[in-house]
Amino acid sequence: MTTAATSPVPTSTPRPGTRAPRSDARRRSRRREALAGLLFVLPTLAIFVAFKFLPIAGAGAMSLTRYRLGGDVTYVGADNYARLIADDAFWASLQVTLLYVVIFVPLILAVSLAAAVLLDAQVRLSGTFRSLLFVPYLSSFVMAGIIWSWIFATDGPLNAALDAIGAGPVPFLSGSQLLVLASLAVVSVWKGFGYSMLIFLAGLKAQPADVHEAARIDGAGAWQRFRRITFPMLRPVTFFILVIETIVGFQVFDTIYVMTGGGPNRVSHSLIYMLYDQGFKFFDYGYAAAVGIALFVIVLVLSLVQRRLVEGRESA
Amino acid sequence: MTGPVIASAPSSPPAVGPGSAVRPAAARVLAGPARRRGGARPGRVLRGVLMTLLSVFTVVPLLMVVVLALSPADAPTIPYALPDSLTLDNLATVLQVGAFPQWFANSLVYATVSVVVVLLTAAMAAYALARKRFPGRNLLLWSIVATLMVPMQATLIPTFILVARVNGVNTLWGLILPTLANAQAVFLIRQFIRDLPDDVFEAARLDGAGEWRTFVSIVLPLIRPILATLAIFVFLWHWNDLLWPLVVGQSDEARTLTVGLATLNTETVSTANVMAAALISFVPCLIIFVLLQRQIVAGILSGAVKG
Amino acid sequence: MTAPRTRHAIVAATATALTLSACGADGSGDGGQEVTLWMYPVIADQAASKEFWDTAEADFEKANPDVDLAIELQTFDKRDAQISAALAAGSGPDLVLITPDQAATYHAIGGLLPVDDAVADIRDAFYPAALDSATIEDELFGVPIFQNVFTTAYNTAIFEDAGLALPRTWDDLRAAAPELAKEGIAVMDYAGSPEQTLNLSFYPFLWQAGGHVFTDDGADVAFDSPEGAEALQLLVDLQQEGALPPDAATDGPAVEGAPIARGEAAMRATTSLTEYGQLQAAVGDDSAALGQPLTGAEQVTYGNAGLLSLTSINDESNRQAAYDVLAFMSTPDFQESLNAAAGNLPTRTDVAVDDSDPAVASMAEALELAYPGEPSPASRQVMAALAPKIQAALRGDMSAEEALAAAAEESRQILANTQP
Repeated sequence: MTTAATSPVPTSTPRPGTRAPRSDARRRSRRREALAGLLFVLPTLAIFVAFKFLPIAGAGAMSLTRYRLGGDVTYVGADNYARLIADDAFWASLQVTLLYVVIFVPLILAVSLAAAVLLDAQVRLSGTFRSLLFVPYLSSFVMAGIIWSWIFATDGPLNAALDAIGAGPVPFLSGSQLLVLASLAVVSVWKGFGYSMLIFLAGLKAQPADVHEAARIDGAGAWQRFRRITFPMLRPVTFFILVIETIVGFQVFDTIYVMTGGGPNRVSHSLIYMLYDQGFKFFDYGYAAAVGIALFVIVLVLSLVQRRLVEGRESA
Repeated sequence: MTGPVIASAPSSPPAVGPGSAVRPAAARVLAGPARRRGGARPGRVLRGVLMTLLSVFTVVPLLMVVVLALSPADAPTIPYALPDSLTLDNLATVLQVGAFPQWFANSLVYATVSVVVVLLTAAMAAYALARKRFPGRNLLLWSIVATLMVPMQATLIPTFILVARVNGVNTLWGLILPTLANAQAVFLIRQFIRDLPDDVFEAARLDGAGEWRTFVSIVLPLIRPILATLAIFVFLWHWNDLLWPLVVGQSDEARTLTVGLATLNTETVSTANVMAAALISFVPCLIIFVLLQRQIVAGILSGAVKG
Repeated sequence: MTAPRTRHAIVAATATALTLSACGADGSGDGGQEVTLWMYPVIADQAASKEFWDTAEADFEKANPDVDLAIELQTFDKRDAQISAALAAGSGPDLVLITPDQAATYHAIGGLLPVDDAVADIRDAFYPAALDSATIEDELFGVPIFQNVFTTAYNTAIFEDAGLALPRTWDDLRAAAPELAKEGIAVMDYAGSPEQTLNLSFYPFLWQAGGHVFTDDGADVAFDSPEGAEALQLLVDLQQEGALPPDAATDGPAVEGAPIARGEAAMRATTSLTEYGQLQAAVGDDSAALGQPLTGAEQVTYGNAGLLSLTSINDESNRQAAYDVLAFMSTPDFQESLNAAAGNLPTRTDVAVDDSDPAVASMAEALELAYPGEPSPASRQVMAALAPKIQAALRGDMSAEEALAAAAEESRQILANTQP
C-alpha cells in the first residue's frame, strides 16, 4: 500500500458549495464527516478484523512455521516458501490454475453478458426466462458434480449424442489437460454465470433509453449499438465482474473436488487442491498456509495488472 | 497496492470515474421505463434461438436431477433409459434421515440472520466508503477487497481455532459470526452508492438531515435493487455452504441441511437417494428465489439507479 | 535475516493463537463426564445407522450413569478437513473412528493418544492381526471394533456365456482378457480415481506380485521394484487390450452405475460385503459370486480394521470415561450387533461369524489372506504421488517403469520433507 492509500483522499465528487472561506467551520464539518464515516464502517471493521484480518495474519504466521499439534510450533523462516519454489507440484498446479482461469474467465463473462443482453431485450416471458437461466446458480456443487460427471462420461448422454452424429467418444474428463479443464470450466460456468448475469442485467436496465434511441435513429445496427454504446457504458460493471470471476477462477476447488479429484494424472490439480491436500490430508499446515499466501500474492498482482489495463483503455 | 483497484484516481475529474457514463441513468429512469428494445425481425429470431439454447443448457441438467430423484431404485434410468415409472420413495427416505427438521431450521437461521446482518453492516460501510471522507478510507476499502483473494481454505484452521477459543463450536452464533465478513457485499454496494447522483446527498445535507436519517431514508431506498439482488446471493452462499458448517457444526445442534444431507453422499447410497437429497435442499432455494425475484425485478425496473 | 525478537514473536503468536486453544473446548462440568464420539456411515442404511447408534448411546449410559456419551454421526465427505480442524483447535471428539493409515498419519502429528490401558484385560481376545494394524511403536493407537475385507467378485453369467472358468490367478485373468475383449467386455473393473485409496486398487496387485509400498523400516519407498513394475504392467496390458473399462483411470469405486453393474465388466478384485450386495442387486443374485483373493506370486488382498481411536483432545478429566466407552464397544455382544447391522467381520476370536450366509463365509475365509496395508505417516502423501502416475501409465502417457520411477522420486522428496 502506498501513501496515497492512507492519506485523506479527495473524493471523486467535490462539492461545489463547500468552498467557504471560513476554514474553521469547514474543518469542523470535515471532522464531523470523518466521525460519521468511521461510525458507519465500525461494525464491518470489527467483523473483518476478527474474522478476516486476524485469521489471515494467523495463516501468514503459520506459513513461517512448521506447525504440529500438541503445541509443537517451530519457526522455520522462509523454509516453506523455499520448498514451494523448489516443488515441481507447485509449478504444475500453478500452470493448471492459470490455464483454467484463461479458459473460465472469458467464457463466463461472455455467457453472462450474452444472457443479460438477451434477457434485457426479451419482451415476453422475461421473468420466466430470467428464472430459467438463473436456476443453476441455486444448485449445490455436489448436485452439479454428479449431474455433469454423467453428462460428460464416456457412455453418457453427451457422448451418445456425439455418437449419433458420428463423432467418436470424447473423453471430456479423462482426456488432455485442455479438454479436462475446459470441461470443468463449462460446469463452473453453468453453475456460476447466474451471478454475473444478474449484475450485468441490473447494469443494462439502468442504461438510459434515449441514447439507444438516438443511435437507432441515426441508423446504427444492433451490433453497432452494442459495441459503441451498451458495452462501453457497462464498463464499471464489467470490471467488477472481471475482478470477481478472476478470483473465483483462481480459487477453483469444488468442481474439481467432485468431478476429477485433481486428475487424471494431475491435469486438474489446482492450487487450492494442493492447499487442501497439504493442509487437510497431510496435516502440513505450515506448507499449506504458504500455498495460500502465494496464491493471494499472485491474485493480488494480477488484479493490479488488470486495473492498469482497464485504466489504460479508459483514458485512451 | 498502488491505490484503489477500481476507484477513480484521485486526480481525475469526477466525470472520468467508472460509472460516470451511467450517471444520467438515475434521472432517466425516473421518466418511466421505456420499451425501447423491439428490434428487427431477423434479430428477434436470432435472439429467440439463442435464448432457447441457453435455457436448454441451464435447465436440462436440472431436469435430470428431478428424474433421477424420482426414479425407482434398481431400475434403469437416465442416462441409459427413461424410467418406466416415478416414485416419491427416495424423497421419503431422505426426509426420514437424521434430525431433518432441526437441520432445516438451522439452515434457515444461518442464512436469514446472515442476510440481514451482512446487508445492514455492508450497506453502512459501503455508504461511508463511497460518500464520507475519513482517514484510512481507501486503505480499509482495499484491505476488505483484498480479503477476497485469500482462499478460505487457507484461513479455515485459524478461523476455527478462533471460534473454538470463544467456545463457539457447535453453536449457531459460532457458525454465523465469521461468515458475516462479506467483502463482495461491501464492494458491490459501494460501487452502487458511488454512482448515485450527487444532488440527492446535497439535498439531504441542505435539509440538515442527520447522518443516520440520510442513510435510512435516502440511501437505503435508493440501493434497494442491489440489496435485493445481494439478499439472494448471500442467502444462497450460506444455504449451499458446506466446508465451514461442516467444520464448526459438529453435531445436530448446529448442523445445517447441506451438511446433514452430505451424510448421505457415500459410495453406499444409491444415486437416486443422493439426487433426492440434492433436490430437497434445492427446493427451498428455488422457492425463496421465486419469492424474492419479484422484489428484485420490481426494484430493478422501477430502478431509481443504475445497476 | 530475521531478528530473534521477531522470530520469537511469531512463534509465540502462532503458538498462542493456534494451540493454547486446546483447553477451550472441554465442556465437562458438574461431576459427570462427557465423552464425544464421531461415527461414520459404516451402516449404509441411514435410518438403521441412526437407530443403531442411538441405541448404543442409550445402552452405554444406562450401564454408566455418570458418563454422558454423545455419538455424533459425521459425513465421509470432507472428513479430512473436519477432523484436521478439530484436532488443530482441540475442539472436537474424544473418540473417532478411523482407518489404520489415518491412524499412522494422525499419530505422526501428535493427534492420537495410546489406548493400551483401555483394553489391557481383554487384549488376548482380539485377532493379533487386527491389533497389529493399530500398533505404532509398540503402543496401541485405536481399538479395532470391526474388520473389513475386500475380495474378488464375479459376474458369473459373463464367464459362463463365454465358456470361461472364473479367473483365480493372474494367468487366468490374462487368458480370459482377450476372449471377453472380443465381446466388448472388460474382464475386470478398476477404480483409478486419485481420490480412491490405493489400498483398494493398485496395492493389492503390488502385494500379489510380491512387492511392497515401503521398505521394512519405512524409511524409503519400495514400489519401484521389478514386482511393482510387473503389477502395473499387468494393469497397463489389460487396459491396452480393452480388458479394463475405458474410463478405468478415472473411475471411482462405486458399484452402482459402474461398468461391473452394467454388465460391461466381468469381475472386481476388491469388493466389500456391502458392495457385493449392490452387485447382486445390479446383475441378479444368480449371476453374482464371491471368490477368494487373486493369486499372483502370492495370494493376498487388503483388509482393514475400523479403529476407535482416542484423540489428543481428550484429557485426564474424562480419560476413564473414554476408556469405558472403548471397553463397551469392544464387548462380544456389541461387536455381534454391529456386524449384523453393518455387514462387517469381528475383530475378536470369541465372536461368531454368521457363516450360514455364504457371502459372509467367503469373506471370513478371505480374512485369512488379508493384509492390513502398510501404515506409514507418509502413506497418504505417497498415495497422492503414486496415484496420478498410475493414471498416466494406464492412459499410455508413460511406461509402467517410468511411472513408478517418477512416483518414487516424488515420494522420496515427500519422505525427506516429512522426516522431523
